[in-house]
Amino acid sequence: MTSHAESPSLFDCLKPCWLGLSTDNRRLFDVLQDGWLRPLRAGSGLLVGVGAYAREKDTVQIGRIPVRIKLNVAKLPDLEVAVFRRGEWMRSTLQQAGTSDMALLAWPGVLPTFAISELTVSTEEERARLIGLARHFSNIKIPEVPIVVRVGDDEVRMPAIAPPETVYKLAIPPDEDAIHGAMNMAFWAVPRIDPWLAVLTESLSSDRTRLPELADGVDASWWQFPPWVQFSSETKPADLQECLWLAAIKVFRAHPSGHRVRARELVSEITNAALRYDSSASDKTAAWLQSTHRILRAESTIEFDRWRSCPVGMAIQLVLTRPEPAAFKTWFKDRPDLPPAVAWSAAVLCGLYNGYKRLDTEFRGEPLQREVVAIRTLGACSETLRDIRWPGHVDDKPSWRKVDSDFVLSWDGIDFARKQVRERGQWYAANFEDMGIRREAGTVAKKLGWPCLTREITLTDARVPFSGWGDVSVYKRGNPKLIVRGKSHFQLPADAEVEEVVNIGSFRRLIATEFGRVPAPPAPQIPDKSDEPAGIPGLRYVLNFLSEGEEMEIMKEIDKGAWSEELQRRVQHYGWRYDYKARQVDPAMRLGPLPPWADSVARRLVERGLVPNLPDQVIVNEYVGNQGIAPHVDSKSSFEDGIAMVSLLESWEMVFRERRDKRKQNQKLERRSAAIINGEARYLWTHEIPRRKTEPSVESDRKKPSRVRRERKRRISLTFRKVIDDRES
Amino acid sequence: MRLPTWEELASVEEQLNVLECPLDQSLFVVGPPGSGKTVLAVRRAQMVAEAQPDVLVVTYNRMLRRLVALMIDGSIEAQTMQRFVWYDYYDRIGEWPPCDTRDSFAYIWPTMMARMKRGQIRPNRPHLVVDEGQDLPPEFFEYASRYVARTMTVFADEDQALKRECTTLEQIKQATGLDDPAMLSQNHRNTPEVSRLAEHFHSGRLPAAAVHRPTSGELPRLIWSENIKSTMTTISNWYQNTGGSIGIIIDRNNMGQALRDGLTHRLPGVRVDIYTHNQQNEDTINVLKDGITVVNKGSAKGLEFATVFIVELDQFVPCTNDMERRAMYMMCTRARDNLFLVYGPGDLTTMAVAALPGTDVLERP
Repeated sequence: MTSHAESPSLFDCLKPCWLGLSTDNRRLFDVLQDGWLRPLRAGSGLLVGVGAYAREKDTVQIGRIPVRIKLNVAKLPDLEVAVFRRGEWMRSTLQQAGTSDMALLAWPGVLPTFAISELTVSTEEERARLIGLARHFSNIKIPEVPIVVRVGDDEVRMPAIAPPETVYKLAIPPDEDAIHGAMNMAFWAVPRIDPWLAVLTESLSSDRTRLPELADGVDASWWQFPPWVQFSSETKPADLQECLWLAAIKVFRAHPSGHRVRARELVSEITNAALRYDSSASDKTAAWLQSTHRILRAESTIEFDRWRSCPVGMAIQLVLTRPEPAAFKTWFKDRPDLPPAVAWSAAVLCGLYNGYKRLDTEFRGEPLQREVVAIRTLGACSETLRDIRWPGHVDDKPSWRKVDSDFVLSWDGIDFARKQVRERGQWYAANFEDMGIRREAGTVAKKLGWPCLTREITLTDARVPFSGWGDVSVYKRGNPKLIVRGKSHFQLPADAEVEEVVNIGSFRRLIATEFGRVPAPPAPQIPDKSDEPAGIPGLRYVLNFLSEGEEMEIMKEIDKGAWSEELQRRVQHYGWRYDYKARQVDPAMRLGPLPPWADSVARRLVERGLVPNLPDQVIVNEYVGNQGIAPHVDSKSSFEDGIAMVSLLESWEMVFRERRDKRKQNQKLERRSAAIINGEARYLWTHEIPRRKTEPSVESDRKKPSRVRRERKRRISLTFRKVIDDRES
Repeated sequence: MRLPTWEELASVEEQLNVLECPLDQSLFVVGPPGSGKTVLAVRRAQMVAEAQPDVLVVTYNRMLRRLVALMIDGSIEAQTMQRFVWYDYYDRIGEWPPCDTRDSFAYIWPTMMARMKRGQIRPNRPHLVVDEGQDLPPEFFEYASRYVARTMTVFADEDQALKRECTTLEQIKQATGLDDPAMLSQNHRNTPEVSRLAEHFHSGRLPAAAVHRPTSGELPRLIWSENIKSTMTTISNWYQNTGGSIGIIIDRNNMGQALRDGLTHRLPGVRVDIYTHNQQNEDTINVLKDGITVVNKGSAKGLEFATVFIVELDQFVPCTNDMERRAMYMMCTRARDNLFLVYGPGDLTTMAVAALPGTDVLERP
């Protein structure tokens, strides 16, 4: 049997590798609703034909549509079966039996709808009627398989002899429908934000080691108890939310769909179940019970903005007010501001309460999802069923990844669902280095009242007097802080810049968790020139800004000039003298116009739109060997925005650091290139030349740092700046 | 339009038999209110239309025509009988149909038939679906079966006739040559809870249809409301909590207008419409879309909503005659899942209280 399993051979082509059942449209709809083809009598085997259709009933009732269902053997686990051949029943396995023709087979349990590979009816009218009928039902979808019109003669009759007793392996556990429903709703409604996909996939893996941590990360600790996992009665929920969650799971699971109980009774049952977990929470549960009753009596509405006081309680309220899946869905339309934790938890409870059977087809996903989730639901329900090997399904942890603007969900190596990233997901993954995105984040946070805004005061070269009885100290290590104990008053200079800034870390967490309708982030400011390296907004970088000849000419001029020895490295100043001690341009030290070589470079910078104002100050820095320059921001009070650095003789790396977030990025400054810092790169990032002996010699690639290094010799850097001249204004 | 799950209908033999009937066969179906006739008519038309174009659905009532048109989403033609015949005759013969001079739509059928016969007119459509057959004249069925379509599906309810001069089932059979009707007997619209309250007011010749739906656990409720504002608060809270479609049935149109204006203001972005028969504004209202529809008691027939508020209950109870009881019955049965009876600010009279069922059927404040 294994000898021909590798590749299709003539033998394979001859092999009737399908099972067949001849029945009617009503039975087909039962099967499509359930996801499983069940034996007519529970506990007995399912009799199907091999390479032929076993006829379930002798007569088809008038009006019903006779349907022949073909199932693909390759989709089924190789279980032990009984085969009826030459007048007797024999034991076999599915794969062995699959090679016989026109035989009957007793399958030990249910068959999955995802194995259906073809449907056959007798006339075109029947085909139209079958498709039309299916459309009448919210939870029925004819599988995307060929519907063949052919009069059948390939039916086998049921034998008079009953098949031998077989171990009934593939029995559907009673909880299966509820869990199947919950899992599908979980996939349908999962918040499309990275950390939530991590919670979803971890909750479905077998060990779930990271689940508590991931659930805490999205302020939904109750998700460490996924509804598809059976927890022992000793489970100790840590707070009211976890109590209510476990109680809701218990109660919704115990009420199989169909006959509904009065919503108010469900509320009481959930309250009682929660109190059994923790009797000390009686005040809080009573308050929830009261408010839920008021909602159900239309005396009040759900208080969405107060969701943090009882997120699970609110999720239950969402299910109770709109219990049917199609009605539940309207919550997403009516309240686009729902907090992700509440919306998702509610959707999963809704799936649990209704079960798979009652789910509209749109909640059931694509065919691959149906296959994966059907198999995994069985595994979640029972240990024995988990051990069954389904072809193509290795017990692998589900995973997610981002492809273009979609989240792709994968299980058993099968990409079974694709979900477009929405507003919150776009924000979560947005590039906050982009000034436009940062600004909009501030606007969104302010509008929604999210607690992630701080006031930042920027002082440049200032001394701040303070008074009051407070004790003021500065803590410099790690995250530096100004610490005030008691009350102090700071007399800030009038030109102190006060800016409301978003704490990006907090903002991203709120994006993943908080209530509020979030608009899409602005489109990133796409660099209009290819010379804008990603990662440092405001940095522009131009290769070959100077020709080799120009470099040679300029070097000649520089080497003729006089070097200042006041720093460790040698420098030359043109235009204005910069006072390194006062860290400002000395207004008295106007040196005069730039020399012709520097002037022509300065003009080129303006002409090519690289700097807004004609630079009038140039510093020539000479770096030899391991010389460098410490991280700094060029004096804000002395120089305008738009500073250009032109490199000569050698290619060295410059390191940029974002001052707030401590992000770091290297940028190689190629020989004869120009690097221009504007805006953020100028004011919010420091830049430095590390003190070291060597430089990476090949074009640096961030993903694959080159190990080949070359010894540094001499690099000349020309810095072009425009002095802020107070005397002019 | 809300579709049933297979589970809901799998055990409803009578509906499945209608749905499964071969599409090239004529079919005659009779059933009480709430038995699903209109939905079945729409389904049948849609299934036939899959294979054949030019299927037509004909109704009597304008609102029902609108409802059918919304359900079939413009893919199939839906017409009131009056309008259909008016244009059909003109297209075939080249002149407007002869009418009684006092009433422009009272067709003079014998003249028309003779004219069609002389012109040797043949059926030009594959299938005609008729809803509310009891309200159409027998001559229309003759006209339709001879000159419109050879295959016909007719839904009717003798007990629900709007006018005295309705068509009997026997007349329909004779005019069309249809077989004995398939009988629908179950109510699929209302929950047992809603139906029990409605039955309290039932006074038809035949008993009310047996309810098939499972219990919802929610009893209809009697609500005292201090003033129109508190009524609006209850309704807008209910809508915000449960969504779906809400029908508000009122007695006086000015009350309806006030509710409509107030709710429009309270629920921005939500559909809030008012429909009264004489306004003839049915084509501007999408009753299938979630939202709120205010109707007066004379215009509620044929409509259904997930939740119904009968406002101004004091105007409707106690019922003093069969007509008033029928009206109450009809209003209650508009509610699929939830029903509220609202009164106030004054107390109900002792007579009115006595006319209402006990607390096992109607929850009191």
